[in-house]
This record gives sequence, C-alpha cells and structure tokens, in this order.
Amino acid sequence: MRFRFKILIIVLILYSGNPLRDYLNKKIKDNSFGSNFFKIEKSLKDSTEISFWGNSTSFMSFDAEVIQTKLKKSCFNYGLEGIYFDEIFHLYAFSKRHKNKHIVWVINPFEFLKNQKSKINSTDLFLPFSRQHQFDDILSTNEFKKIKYFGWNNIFKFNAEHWKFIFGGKNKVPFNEFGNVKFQKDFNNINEFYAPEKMIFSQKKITVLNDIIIKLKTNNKLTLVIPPNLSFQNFNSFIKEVNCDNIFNYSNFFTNSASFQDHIHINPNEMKILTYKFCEDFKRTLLRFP
Amino acid sequence: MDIISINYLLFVLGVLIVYQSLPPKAKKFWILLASLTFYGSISFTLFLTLIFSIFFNFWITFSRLKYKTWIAVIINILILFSFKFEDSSFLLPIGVSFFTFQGLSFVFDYSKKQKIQLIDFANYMSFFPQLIAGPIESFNHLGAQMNNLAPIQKKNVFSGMSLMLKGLVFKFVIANRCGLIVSSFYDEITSYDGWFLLFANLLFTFQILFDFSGYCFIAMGIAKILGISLSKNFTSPYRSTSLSDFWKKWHTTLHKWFKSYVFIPIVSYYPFWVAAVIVFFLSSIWHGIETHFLIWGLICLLFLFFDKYLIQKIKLPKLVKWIITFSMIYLSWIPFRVSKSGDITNILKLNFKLDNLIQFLADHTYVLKQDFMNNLSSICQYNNTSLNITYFDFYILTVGILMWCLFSKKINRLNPFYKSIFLFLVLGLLGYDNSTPFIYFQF
Repeated sequence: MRFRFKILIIVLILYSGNPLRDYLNKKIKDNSFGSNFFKIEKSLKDSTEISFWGNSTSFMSFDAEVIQTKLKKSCFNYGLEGIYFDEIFHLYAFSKRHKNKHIVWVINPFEFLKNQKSKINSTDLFLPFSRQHQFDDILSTNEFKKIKYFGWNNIFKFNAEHWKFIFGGKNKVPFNEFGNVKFQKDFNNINEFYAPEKMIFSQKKITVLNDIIIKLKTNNKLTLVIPPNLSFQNFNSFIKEVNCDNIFNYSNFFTNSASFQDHIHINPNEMKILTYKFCEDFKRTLLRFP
Repeated sequence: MDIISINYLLFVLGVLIVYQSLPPKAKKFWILLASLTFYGSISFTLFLTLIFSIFFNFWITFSRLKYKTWIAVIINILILFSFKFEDSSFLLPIGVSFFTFQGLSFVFDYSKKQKIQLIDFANYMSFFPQLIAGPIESFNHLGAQMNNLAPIQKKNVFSGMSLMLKGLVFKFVIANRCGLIVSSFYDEITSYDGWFLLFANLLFTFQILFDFSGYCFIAMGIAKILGISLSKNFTSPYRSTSLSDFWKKWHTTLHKWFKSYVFIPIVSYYPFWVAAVIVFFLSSIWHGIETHFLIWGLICLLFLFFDKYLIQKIKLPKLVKWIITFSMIYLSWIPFRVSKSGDITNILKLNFKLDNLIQFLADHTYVLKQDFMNNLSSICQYNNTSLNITYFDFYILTVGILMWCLFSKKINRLNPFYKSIFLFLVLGLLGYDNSTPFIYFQF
C-alpha cells in the first residue's frame, strides 16, 4: 500500500472519532434516565419556576414534588451527587438561558473549609455534553477544549458509568421524576471529616462563590440554603461573608442522629418536614419577588 | 510536561515535523534543543543537573587527571544520592539515575584518545524519548546513531507508531487498571486477607511489567521514527525458566550496566557470591534507600543462590522450572511494592479465610449471571472494603491480560500499519486514564 494512502486512512480513522463521539454521547443522554447525565440534559432543555441546585444535600433534603404541590409552582431538583459549588456548570448555563426564575442553591459550607477538595471528576460528569453549545463559554478549560475538537479523546475518557449507559444499563438508585432520591437508612458515622475541631474557611473559595452569586443574580432570583448537619455548627461566620440577602439557614434544624443517615444527609421523613418548613419560609420570598 | 498527555504527543509531533524539514547538520542541534526543552519543562533544578552532568562527564573523560574515574564515580554518585536522600515530595528525581548511569558508562568506556563531539555526547545524555526512564544506553550504541541523524524514513513511521501505541495500550488498558486494585491493597493491607494478597500481588506482577515496558515501547517508538534503535529492555521475562535468565530479560539495560561495570570487574578477583551480593546491594539502593528495597535485594539474592545452586542442578521438566522461577519472581515483588518495611510485618500477619474469597467470587458470579449491565459502574468490593475499581474495569483488565497472553505473538506478527490501527482502536475504546505516572519515574 502506498505511504500516502496509508496516511489518508490514518487521518480518516482519526476523524472518525468525531461522529463516533457524537453518536455515543447521544446514546448516553438517551439511556441515562434518572442519572446525573439525565439531570444535566434536562437542565439544558426544560425549565421550572423553582429549581434546586447543589450536591446530594440538595436532592436528599428538599422534596421538589412537595414544593410543587404546596407552592403551586413547577419545581425540579437538579442537585448532582458529590459536585462542588464551583463545578455546577449546568446551573451557570441554566441561569444564562432563563430570566426571572427562582434558583434555590443548597450550599454545603463544609466545601468552603480550607482543606476540602472536590472528590468527583467534573470532566467525567460533563463529558457527554462537551459539544453542547450552551456550555461554550462555561466549559472553557483546556481539558474540555481538547475533548471538544478531538473526538477520540472524548471517547478515551469515557469511564464505566458512560459505557454502562451506552450498553443500555440503568441506574441502581435513580432519581425520581422530580430529581429526588428517597431511602431510609440508619445513622452511619462515615463522614467524620464533617465534624472538624476547627472551622477555617477559605477566603479564596468564598470570593469565587460571591462572584458566581453576582452572575446568578443578574437574570434570576437567588435563594441560598444551608442544609442540616449533625456537627452543631451554625456557620454564622461563613454566612456573614456571603453576598446574598436571601439565605435560609437550616444547619441546626435537626439535632438527633436518628434523623440522619450520616453527618449531612437526612432521612425521607425529615426531608418532608424540612421541605414544609422551607415552603413556609419561601412564601416570604415569593411575596418579595413574585 | 507530562509524558502521558496530549501536550507531549503534540510536542513529539512538532519535533518530528521540524526535524524532517531541517538540513542534516542542524538535525542534531534540533534534537538537543527539543530534549533540553522537554526536561526543562519538568523541573529547572533537574535541567541544571543534567547540564552539569553533561559538561562534567565530558570534561572528566578527556581530562588528564590521575584518579579521574574515581572522581567521576564519586561526583555522579553524589548527584544521584543528593536527589535520592532528599526527603522532598515536590521534586522527584525524574530521569537522574538514568542519565547518571549513562554518564558513568561513558566515563568507563572512553578515554582521551577518542574524538567525540560534545553535541553528540549531549544528545546521548539527554535524548528526550528515553531520558526519563531509560533504556540505559551505552554511547557506543546510542551516541553513534545520534552522530548520523538521517531524515525520517517512510518504513520507520508505522513501525515506530505501532511501538508507541503498544506502549500506550500497555499503560492505559492494563497497567492503570491493575494499579487500582494493587493500590487498594497496599495502601490498606490490614483490611484484607492472605487470599487478596496473592491476587493483588499477581496484579502488581503484571502492572510493573506492562507499566515499565509500556514506557520503553513509547520511547522506542519515537526513537524508531527518528531512525534510532534503542535497546530492548524486556524480552518476555516472565517466561524465563531460571532466575539468571529472568535477569537477562528484565530491565536488560540496567542489568547489563551492572554486569559490565560492577559484576565482571569484581568476579575477576572474587568469588561469584561476592559479586552477586554487591550487584544486588547496589541495585537495591539504585531503586531507593528505603529498607524495603534492601529487603527486596536480599530476597532476590537468596532466590538467585537457591535457583543457581539447587534448582538448576536438578533435572526437572521445563514447566516445573517455570513455575518455580515465576513463584520466586512473584514473591520478590512483595517487598518491592510495599510503601514501608513495616508493611511486610502486616503482610506476614494476614490470614487465609476462605469465606472472604467465596463471597468475592459469589459477588462476581451474581454480577456476571444476573445483573451485568446495571452493575458495570458499581465498585468491586472484597470483605466489605472498596477496591476502587468498577466491575467494567475489572473485566476489561482480566480479559486484557488473558488476550495479551494468548494472542500477543499473533498481534506482534501483524504488519505495522494494521497493528497501529488495531492498537489505536483498542486504546481509544478501552483506555483508562487515572493520571497515574509510570512506576519507574520515581527511580
């Protein structure tokens, strides 16, 4: 075979990564009902009057179905497991696309401690959306740029979770149609790091948070929520530093370990009680910003 | 610059394109510039060390000093150990031990009578594909080729590319996945039992082979495209039927170095065992000054004597000899892999409970038979402890190792062009990148 012909075949194989990537990304989005990918996809297409954002403390603390019934406004919980405050790229995209929506961001203050780092790989999470135009300015890190232009790099980075959905597998504990997960569990003291002796918050992280808050408030109505925790912290010093006038602090709402699954996740019954309380409090916000 | 990154691939591509367009005389200057840029991008301190090593070794080789060989040995060892002894987590001595050994071999082999250009020597010391982790070359082999750099030949392009892809497949498809289970075990030894030790150490036996040979294939592939042939560091070492055979086939260039410059000079005056003790002692401290490396060296030495003076004297079927040899190699990797010597005591305390093993096998049987698709991304567990590997990656790893053992000869016989395509697709679809550096970068 002539050398030039061989090179042409290699170039074609390299290029074939792009349509293959698009096909596989579509498969992931189509098959991933009830997963993190499903929530990201939904956030790019749909909209609700009230939307919840954050990590697992969001979808395990606030029941969107109850809120929708009580407040008579459409509601969905877009919280993603393990995600950090500066990785919620789909929230940034959502807030850019919509105007005058109620964004309720559940903030876990422990993320702002100096030594805390994200435990997930956000690239994995947003990989199937690397070509989504809504993320054009948001996913601008070098990592995503390389993935965007070279399809094989996107495919190479697929992990077991991506392949599971490509092959038609399903989520074991899927989110319900409102984005929540409800399951009862006895208290297990696994998240010991959520009870540090000294709470030293990172000023750098708080500055980043404040910058994000300004962007989110430009088009939409923002409410920050501090979820319950079992460390008996009220986070007043943290709240003082955050530039948002609408903060609901539920950090000490439950104090009995029987209400918790671990230091920061509550059980379904407590989720219901907390959601009712939230609805009461949120009515004031609705009066201010209907 | 990380060697396992798109940046490095683009760097190599850029170097090759510019190299091809340059006139013959400029090629060696370009390769030197590329090598120094690459090393400088890793660390400026290491870059200065390399520059010093180049000038010092070149100068002393052709100087008229009386004890120049001894001075060279002392200075090079000082350079090496100043990095090895320094308890610094931010500056790994990446490449130092490799270029130091190359510098020493030059000092030992050459004298003031030979005419050698500094640029050729500098290229020999710093050639970027093999600078980080070898193969350790002699000037006679690599330096001579660097002196006659020719334009890239078409026939070398696909041969080199297939070698590079083979190395990447070794690293990303097999070694990285082995590393997940191996690290789970060795990071928390007391959470597991003896059965899991046997399993995790078997995986480490494969990990270190695929990881290190993977790097060597990448280095050989880049060099091959440039028309330079690097020495082979691995020749199916685990198929050896004696330990002396294994050491000829494992990290061949390091053992050749020890043989030429330590073993042969000593064995001319002293008995075999004295030379062997010194070689294994030096080899241990070359890997690191920690006690567990010394224990590793000692175990290797004892196994070597056992094999040489007992096993090889008995007439045994080849298969039995292979099993004995492989078992000795396999056991010797335990003290090599542990993070501290105290872990060896923990390993000796492990018990062999059948229940845990049966549960582990039952879990896998359930997943394979009942709920394969939905469990692909679930994390494998052993004795309720996470192994940090998903079922999907676990099965890719198992099938990958089996396939390589069964079909490696057939794949190697493929035309380089088809082999490149095959390996590229395997890498693209089954690669696993968890940003783990090559094991031998730490040495």
